[in-house]
Amino acid sequence: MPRLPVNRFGRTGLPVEDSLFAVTAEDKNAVRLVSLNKHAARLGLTKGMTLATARAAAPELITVAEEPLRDEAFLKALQRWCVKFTPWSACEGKDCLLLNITGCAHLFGGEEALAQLITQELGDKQIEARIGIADTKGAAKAAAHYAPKGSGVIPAGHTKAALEKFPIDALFVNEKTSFELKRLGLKRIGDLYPLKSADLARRFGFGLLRSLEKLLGSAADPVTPASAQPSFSARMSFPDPIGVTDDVNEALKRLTEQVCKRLCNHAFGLRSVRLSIYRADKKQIHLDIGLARPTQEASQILRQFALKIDKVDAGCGIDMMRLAALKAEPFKPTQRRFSDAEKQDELDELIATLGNQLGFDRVLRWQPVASHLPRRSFKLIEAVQRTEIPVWKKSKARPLMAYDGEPITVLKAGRPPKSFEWRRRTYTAARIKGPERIGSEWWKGPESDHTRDYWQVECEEGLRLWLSTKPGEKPASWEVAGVFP
Amino acid sequence: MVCGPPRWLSALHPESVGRFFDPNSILLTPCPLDTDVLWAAENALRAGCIKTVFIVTDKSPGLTNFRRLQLAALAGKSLGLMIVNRPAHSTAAETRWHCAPSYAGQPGEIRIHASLYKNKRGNIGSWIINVFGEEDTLYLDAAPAGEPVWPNRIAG
Repeated sequence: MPRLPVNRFGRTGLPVEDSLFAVTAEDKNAVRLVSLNKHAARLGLTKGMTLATARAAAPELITVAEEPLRDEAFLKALQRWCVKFTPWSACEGKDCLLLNITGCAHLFGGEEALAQLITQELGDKQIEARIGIADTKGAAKAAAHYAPKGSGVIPAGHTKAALEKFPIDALFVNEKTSFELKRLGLKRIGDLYPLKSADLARRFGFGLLRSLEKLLGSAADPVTPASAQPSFSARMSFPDPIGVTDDVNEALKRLTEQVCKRLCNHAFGLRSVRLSIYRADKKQIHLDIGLARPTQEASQILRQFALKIDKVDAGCGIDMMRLAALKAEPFKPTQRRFSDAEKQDELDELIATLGNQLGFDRVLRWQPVASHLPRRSFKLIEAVQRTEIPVWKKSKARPLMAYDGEPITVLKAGRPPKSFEWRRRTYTAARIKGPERIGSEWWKGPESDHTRDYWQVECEEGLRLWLSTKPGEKPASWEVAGVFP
Repeated sequence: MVCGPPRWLSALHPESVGRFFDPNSILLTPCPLDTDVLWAAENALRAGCIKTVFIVTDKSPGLTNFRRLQLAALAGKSLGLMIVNRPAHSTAAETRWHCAPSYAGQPGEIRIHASLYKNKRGNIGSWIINVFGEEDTLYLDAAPAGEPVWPNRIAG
């Protein structure tokens, strides 16, 4: 589909065929043309040309910035549509679709007829298409791009002969190789046939040889079908714009039920879902929610949305609502333990509620880390990401609150100090236990200078502190590394 | 569940917490804003799936907020414990405690002097609590210790 971005804009209602029209994108430090309509191409504008040059040649050129994500989504949608021709299809690059039509062509009256049918049906959708049908993937691609119009079908077994006259670019090797080949006078694919493969490999590496083999079918080059993961989304357009909260809730309920039904059929559960609200004044509002566990339950999703939906400004009315799964995971309905099942569900819902309001990076759990340093022996992970329950070691020798070392003022020296001031209060050491030396992680390099001696100090005031000092330092500086219960 | 300022929560050491609770069962919600702390605590209390919610704040919240938390705790049948740095005032709390570490009789023992200086449905008092044992066999030995002590308001 040589003009896919332009065609896509055409489908949205822009008058792309009336005048000179191009789609631009920023590339290599300049705004360049990525796709042109027929008029622009006829005038001599090309893809890759900078916008400034194009404007100089054609001042009346109308341009629109590229929307790569939408183009990609559009190509994927087209791929899904292609299921009517063959179950085996894939997207290739930005604007190609590969269909494996082995055993399907006769259903449409042969390859020629199928090619015509696809061209026509895409034409009805305002999409220009060029079609190549051949024995191998590479040959079909070459035929679609470089065959003269109307002769894109290469009959079975004639690949080698048919490709003879194709330019070297039809190999789709990298730019450097194709430039080198052209420099040596090898301008057509046929020019490569008489050359020894060993010579080619020596000069250009195996890459070129592989592509040539793939092109001619002596090396395997299967069409890798894109995953058949269904999209869990539903859309509702309203005859008149709506704005009352009850209406929105009702619409959301229906959408959720639709999505959940589809999830049930495919044994998937939602982890993250987006509600897009399209207002009558063309504004879009997106609400995202996440869930702690894959779920298929509509009520649970609705409860999460209930907190956010009130804050939506409907403006002059809502035209359309769309609910789409951002993240869906396989759903395994398991028999949970009788006693804890409800508790666990409630907890998951609470985590989802808190996460949706505060952010999931604020709902955390502890995870042990293999490190002997007291401050590094654990880390905080998002509660929704915890997959398995870790095993902890309990230790009386570790403080309840661990600090990064808060300096103290020594009032009466000693090892550890007999009397000191910390947080504007004076303490007197009564009982000490230690030292315990904890070495640094030497494999982390010289900057991990964490070797410390630790003492458990019970003060007369009752507080039990964990004092640390650097061994061999003179005069010794003392820090509070933690407080025991 | 523990909710409070991120600095305070990141200092908690799970290996030591493991002596009293199972670290895997603890959910931490660090929130820099006080309103977020209260919101999270209220939701957690109301949900009922969490037995105890620790709320760590610098100042005790106002009467209205406190009453909200209390109603949430009643609805969820859960316990809310608020750890307040500064001396509390005008709170709707059921009980108010002042806890201070106390010099223990035996080395390595935990001894806490807990004074109950406000109690809506009972007497006030003060106890010296010795803590023995581990998570499963935690044993508290409390001995009465005369008049309760409460923090000096001016100090806050």
